[in-house]
Amino acid sequence: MSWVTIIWAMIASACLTLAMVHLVIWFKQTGQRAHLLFSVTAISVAAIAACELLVMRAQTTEQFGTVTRWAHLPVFFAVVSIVGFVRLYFHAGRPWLAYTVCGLRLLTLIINFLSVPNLNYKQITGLRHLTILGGETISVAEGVPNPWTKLGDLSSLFLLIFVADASVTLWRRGNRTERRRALVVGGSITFFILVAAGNSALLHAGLIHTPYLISFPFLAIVTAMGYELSQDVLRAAQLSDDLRESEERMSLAVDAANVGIWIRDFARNEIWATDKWRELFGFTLSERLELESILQRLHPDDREAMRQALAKAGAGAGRYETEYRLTLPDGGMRWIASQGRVEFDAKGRPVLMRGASRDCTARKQAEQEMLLLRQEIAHVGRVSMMGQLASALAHEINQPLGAILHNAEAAELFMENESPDLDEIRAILADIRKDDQRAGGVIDRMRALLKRRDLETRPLGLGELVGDVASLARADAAARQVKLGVDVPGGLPLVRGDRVHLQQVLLNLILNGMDALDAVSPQDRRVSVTARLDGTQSVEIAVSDNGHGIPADKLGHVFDPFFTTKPNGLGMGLPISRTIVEAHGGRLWAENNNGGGAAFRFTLPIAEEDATG
Amino acid sequence: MSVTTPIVHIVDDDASFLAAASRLLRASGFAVKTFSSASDFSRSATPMHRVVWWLICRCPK
Repeated sequence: MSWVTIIWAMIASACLTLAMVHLVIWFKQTGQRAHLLFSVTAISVAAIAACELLVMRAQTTEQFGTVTRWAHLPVFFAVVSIVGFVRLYFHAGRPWLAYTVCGLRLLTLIINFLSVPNLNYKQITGLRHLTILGGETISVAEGVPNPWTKLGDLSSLFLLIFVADASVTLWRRGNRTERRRALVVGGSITFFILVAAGNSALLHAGLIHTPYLISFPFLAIVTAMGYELSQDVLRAAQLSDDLRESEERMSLAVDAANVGIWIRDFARNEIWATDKWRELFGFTLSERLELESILQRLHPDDREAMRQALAKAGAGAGRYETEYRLTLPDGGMRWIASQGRVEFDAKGRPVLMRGASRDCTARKQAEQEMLLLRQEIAHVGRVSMMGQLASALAHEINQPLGAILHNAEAAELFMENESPDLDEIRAILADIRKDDQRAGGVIDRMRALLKRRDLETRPLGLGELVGDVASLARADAAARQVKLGVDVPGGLPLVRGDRVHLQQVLLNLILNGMDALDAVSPQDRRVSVTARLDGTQSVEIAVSDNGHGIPADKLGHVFDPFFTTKPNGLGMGLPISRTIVEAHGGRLWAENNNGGGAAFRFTLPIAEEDATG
Repeated sequence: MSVTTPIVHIVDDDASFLAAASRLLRASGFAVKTFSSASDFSRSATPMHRVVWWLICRCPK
């Protein structure tokens, strides 16, 4: 076996092996056209190597000429595929240069096949036999150069310019990887094209006497291209490892958080969900998921809100976050906290919606229980407050009852007259009715406060609210010789709140104020309730007294549970009041008045339909 | 008759109670004068002999 055959055959087989590997990659991932172009280059170089070998073994000038002519075909494919590879792989290179290179090379190919014997020679006059590589004899041509050869050289020159230009562009633009790519691929293509073109130009000009050595530099080019592509393959493998690791972490986190994931594909109209999600929503593992069948699982009261949240997210909001109830097939109920994001295509149409759903029934139940407990405590507070007011309220009811009794007795006496004064009797009946209503009013207000009830917020007029409380407290105030002043301007906007709970707060603050007045002489005891606008979004209500005030060191503790300064106080009134005010979205705080005494102030949000902002 | 008709004076801060009590006493044949506060009563220069007191304690001034 000769060395020449071994070397050229090895070049060809190396190129073919690389071509096969990358053809397979391209075949598996059709998007990877760089791999296809690389394979074309590699196969072309293998063919060039085969032609070179045949030329060296040529016995006649005709054989030499024919094989050289056919060698232009793989050269054409090699050049065109290198141009395509650079464009595709670098995302750089001027298109007009690319077209010029390919056009010139095509023209060269056509002229080559029209010329006899080929593009490079007008005439091959003879074969010269050279001895290389330890005594092997090979053939090289002697003849008249064909001027059209320059066309092929021009094409190679443009190829050089095109690749060099594309490499510079990539280098300037690129990060570290792209710069390496520019250097390795661009640099080696430039250098080895120069070598290959130089070799053949000198050869055709008859200045050197060597065999064609184009396949050697082309092999180097193929190696550089293959090296870069293999980096991509390695990177893909690394990415797939990273992805697997990331998926592992994700699934660990998802399992730990008890989250179910669902993905809606808008184009294919398909919904995919994790097993956990199916378990949450009560679907079997094989059941086909439809948006409508999922929505049917939602509690009827929550369905429309969810539908709208999804529609809004898909229409451009891009995300949703909501809580809803599920009615499970077994009749049970489950609270779900759900959030999701939407992916849009370039035209802004939704492509994918990914959602995560979590069972939050326990939290919802705890919240519900907390709310009930809070209402229970507030109720206890009201009952205890009514206890304090009981004797004053009894007096408040006794007054009209006593009047009714006297009026009835008087009417009986009037009736004994032979001609009773009917006008007087009508006046008596009107008074009886009025007093009855008055007593009924006191009882109604008391009962409203004593009733155990849920929180109901609605727009409330402050004048009426404060007025009701003042009439409940007035009897007690009178008994304790306290002047209870109310100043609520008529033009204040409505506030949003629960009537009974807010009355409780006001009553608590008024009673506290009156408690602070024991040391003040009876003619000076004053508690006043005032209200004013606080900014554009809320109203501030103040209950102030002219008592002993709050010692500075206790000002920070008056809202602590069980903190009290009264001998028989429980210390729950103010903490309950603060909880109520905060549940309304307001604040409650205490301060000392400049002129003595304390003031408790709280804010309430203005009812939305009445907000001036 | 030599004995003058007794006049009953009623003091109470609750107007409707005052009206009802005075009505009942008038129906029973008494002459009645009403006052809504103790200070009104003390200003009225009522002779203080032969007075029957009917007091409601802790009635504010």
